[in-house]
Amino acid sequence: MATTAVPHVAAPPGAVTPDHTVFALERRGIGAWLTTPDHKKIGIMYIFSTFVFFLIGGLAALLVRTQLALPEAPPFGDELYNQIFTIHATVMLFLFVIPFGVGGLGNYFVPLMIGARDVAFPKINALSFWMIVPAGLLILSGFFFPDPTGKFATGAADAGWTSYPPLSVRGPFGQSLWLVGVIILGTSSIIGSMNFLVTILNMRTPGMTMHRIPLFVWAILTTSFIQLIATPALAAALLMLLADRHLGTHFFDPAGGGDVIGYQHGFWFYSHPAVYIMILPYFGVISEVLQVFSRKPVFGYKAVAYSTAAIGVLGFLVWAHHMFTVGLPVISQSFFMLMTMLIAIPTGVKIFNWAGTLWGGHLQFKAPLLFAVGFLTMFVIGGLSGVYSAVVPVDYQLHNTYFIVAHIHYVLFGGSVFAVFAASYYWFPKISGRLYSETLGAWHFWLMLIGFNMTFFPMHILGVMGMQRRIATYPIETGFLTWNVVETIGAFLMGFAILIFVWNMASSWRRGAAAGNDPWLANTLEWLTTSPPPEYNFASLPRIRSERPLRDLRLAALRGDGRQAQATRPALERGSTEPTPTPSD
Amino acid sequence: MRRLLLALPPAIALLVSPLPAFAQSWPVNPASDGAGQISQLFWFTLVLATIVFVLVEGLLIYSSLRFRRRSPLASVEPPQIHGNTRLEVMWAAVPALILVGLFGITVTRLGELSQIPSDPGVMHISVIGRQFSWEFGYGNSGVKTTNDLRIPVGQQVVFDVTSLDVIHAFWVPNLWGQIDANPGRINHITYTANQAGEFRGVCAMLCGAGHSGMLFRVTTLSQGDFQSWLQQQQAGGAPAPKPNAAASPPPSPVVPAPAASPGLQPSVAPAASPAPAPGGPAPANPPVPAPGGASPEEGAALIRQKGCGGCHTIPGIQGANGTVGPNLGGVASRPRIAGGAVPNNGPDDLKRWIMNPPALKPGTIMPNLGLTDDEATKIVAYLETLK
Repeated sequence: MATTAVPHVAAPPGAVTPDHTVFALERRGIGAWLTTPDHKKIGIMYIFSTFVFFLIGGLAALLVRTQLALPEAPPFGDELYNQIFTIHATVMLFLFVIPFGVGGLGNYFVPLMIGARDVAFPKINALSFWMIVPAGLLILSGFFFPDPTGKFATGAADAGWTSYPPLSVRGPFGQSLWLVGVIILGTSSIIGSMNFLVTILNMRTPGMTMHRIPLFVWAILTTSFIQLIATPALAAALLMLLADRHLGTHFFDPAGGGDVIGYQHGFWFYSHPAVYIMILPYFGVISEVLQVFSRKPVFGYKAVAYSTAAIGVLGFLVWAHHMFTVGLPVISQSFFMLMTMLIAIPTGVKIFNWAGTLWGGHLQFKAPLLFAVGFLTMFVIGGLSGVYSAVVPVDYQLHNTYFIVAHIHYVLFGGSVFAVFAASYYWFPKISGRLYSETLGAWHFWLMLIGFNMTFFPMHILGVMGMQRRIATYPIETGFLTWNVVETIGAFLMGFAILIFVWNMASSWRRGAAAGNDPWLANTLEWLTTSPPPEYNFASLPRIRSERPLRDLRLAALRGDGRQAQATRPALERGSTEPTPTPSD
Repeated sequence: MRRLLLALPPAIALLVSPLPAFAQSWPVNPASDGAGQISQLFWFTLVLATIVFVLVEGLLIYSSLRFRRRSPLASVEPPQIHGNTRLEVMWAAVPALILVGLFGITVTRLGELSQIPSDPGVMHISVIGRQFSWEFGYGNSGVKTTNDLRIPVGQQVVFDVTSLDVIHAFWVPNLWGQIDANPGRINHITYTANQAGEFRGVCAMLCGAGHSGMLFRVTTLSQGDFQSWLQQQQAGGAPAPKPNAAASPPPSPVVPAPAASPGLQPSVAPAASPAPAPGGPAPANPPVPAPGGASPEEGAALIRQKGCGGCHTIPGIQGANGTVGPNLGGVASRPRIAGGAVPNNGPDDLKRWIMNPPALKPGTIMPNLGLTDDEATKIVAYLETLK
């Protein structure tokens, strides 16, 4: 086994390439951003705007936590409280977790990773972004705008993010704004996912077969497939709800021959697959980060890729496990229980393959790996708590309690959001051209991990004790107070940790050391070009011969393999650091 | 901030409270055959999940610590292992077997739990949810109660659950799981309580502004106690209050406010009463300080005059047999009122409640009758006799 030592050299301060200034906002002004069809600029706009929505949703979460720590003197009335948690969930799911992963990370990195210059339909891509912020503002504006017809009360949507009728049919005017907003977001998702499907299937650089695309791209491919199939069901359910509210239809009104359960089927036919829309891109991130920071290939590339696809298909057959308490026949409950248990298998395969990737590696515990391992350990808890809900009779007890709130947050916060941070640290050098502070990154991680578990672990206990979700207050004799206070303290700790993250990103963007093309000695093509990449991404590309083209280049350079190295020379020379060959077997 | 400070002392005092509450939770203290089965399944799943949890988290943490490198970036690559088919098949198959086993165990239990007996001799209780209270109807007896469910121990009961407005979920954790109360549909659950006691019942499905207050009490009684309670209810409502109070309200032949028929919206009831003082409690009336000074008799008269009996069954008040609101028999000795939304530590709490119900329990159907402070004091004086 070869053992040549290759020291890692941080790029010298002067090494920022001229391309860095080409990219900058100053040169072409705000107009460049408003009119750009460039997938990287659109990706950055996605990332920024959805992160702002994350902060808004986080603020709402802190209000929720404040309310629940003060059951005897709650700061908000029930009406306002219902609006706050509805907005919290809506913003986090529809305006952050989904668009950040697919729209933000997907847009920026999929074309780079497959060696394309842009997505297949750049202008449609811009359109799908420009629907996000207006839709978000529409949803939030429910707090302020009265109903022009005077039929509904003023206020934001207050029926929860699930918006079950008939409650949502009677809700304040903000419910209508919410419906329109979410339908617009769904439309944005649909056209965005078409774009990704075409891009990934048609625009891969020569040699990049489907078994060589990075696992993140596999994840975006599967996610796009799910979005394309599932989102229309949501749009249909929401449009019917809107018609019930404003056009006098009775789709969900039993008095007019409608059925309240119909909405739930339509909603969950989208929203359960949507859980995978919210997690698969982040599975992809974890697969990339683990490989780079353990200096190993992913354990079982095909198993991970195909389990992603399996989740994408099985995800359509489990929706009614959200509906075990509505009174479905035993036979359908049993079917959905079986499917729910089956879908745990590909998820389990991924966890074990990721553990296999860590095993025997040289683990570099920088911030991305910290968050990736945090993701694994927390997601396991979320996966296991899901098994309780799959056991139908136990779900009768745990449904609509804080146990479910704990479960969803272990999956979507301990899972997706931890991966958001892993991705942010991992790709920050590529997007900004700078290095962030590892010290602050570690502080962020540990505070986050402690705060997260303080906030969400006790929710399992509260759920088992019988605390229903979505209650504005509770009698003190229930004994719920103690854990609620602990949770609230944890939530504020997380809020503080996120401030550290924001500071780290903001200050590093301005003053961080230059990153060079490939500070992590990574595997995938985005690290071949400059940081940040020029508008056209690549001047030239090597032929792809494995799923780790950059490592191939480093090996080729090490062996003095002229042909391979020659082909990539122009691209390499523009970089501040030569790709550092890392030796191996 | 001020509220925060005010809430601080009770917060500290109650930091030690969760243990007894946990001992009352459904996995620890199931009080029916069905809840017992669910509890067993829960503990089984918990043990299974804990084993998997320890193994997987152990593997992850062990490999994180064991393979950590402190050097900035590895100068030497570790062996490049691309996978191991045998291992991968194993870790797909073993969880699959565990899950299929769990499915098998669960699905048989599910079948048993969902058996609704068709035998006409089985007792049915209808459960009707509405914003924001629960109405219970006991078989063919004609007896109805609100926010106050009584069931016999050792006798199978089928609950027919539905809703009048939005979706609610009927849930008594110690007795069974949740079942949605869907408008336009009737769901059935069944169980046999096996322990006498009082249990907490809640609405588990977000149903609007009064959701968190949509609580009810469940009392499980021995079959004898249950039957005599039911007969008492059938016999015209309510037992007379305890002797000391029973003598005091003079039987009045005149019921000024004709009782609204059960099921009618309660807002009808106050319409029959004299116009309420505008703007709630009249500020002109000086508060009557001594609660002992108010006479229960005057209270009883006021109760008749205000038409409380249109919605409530009130012991000792003729014609007060409404079922829209809870039966007020024993209201003074309940630890909480308003379906559990308001603590009841004495006459002042009861008075605060009747003077402005919507302020204490948003969304309640009990209207603000615009009682003066004096009137409320008198009414409470009567209610306090209903121990």
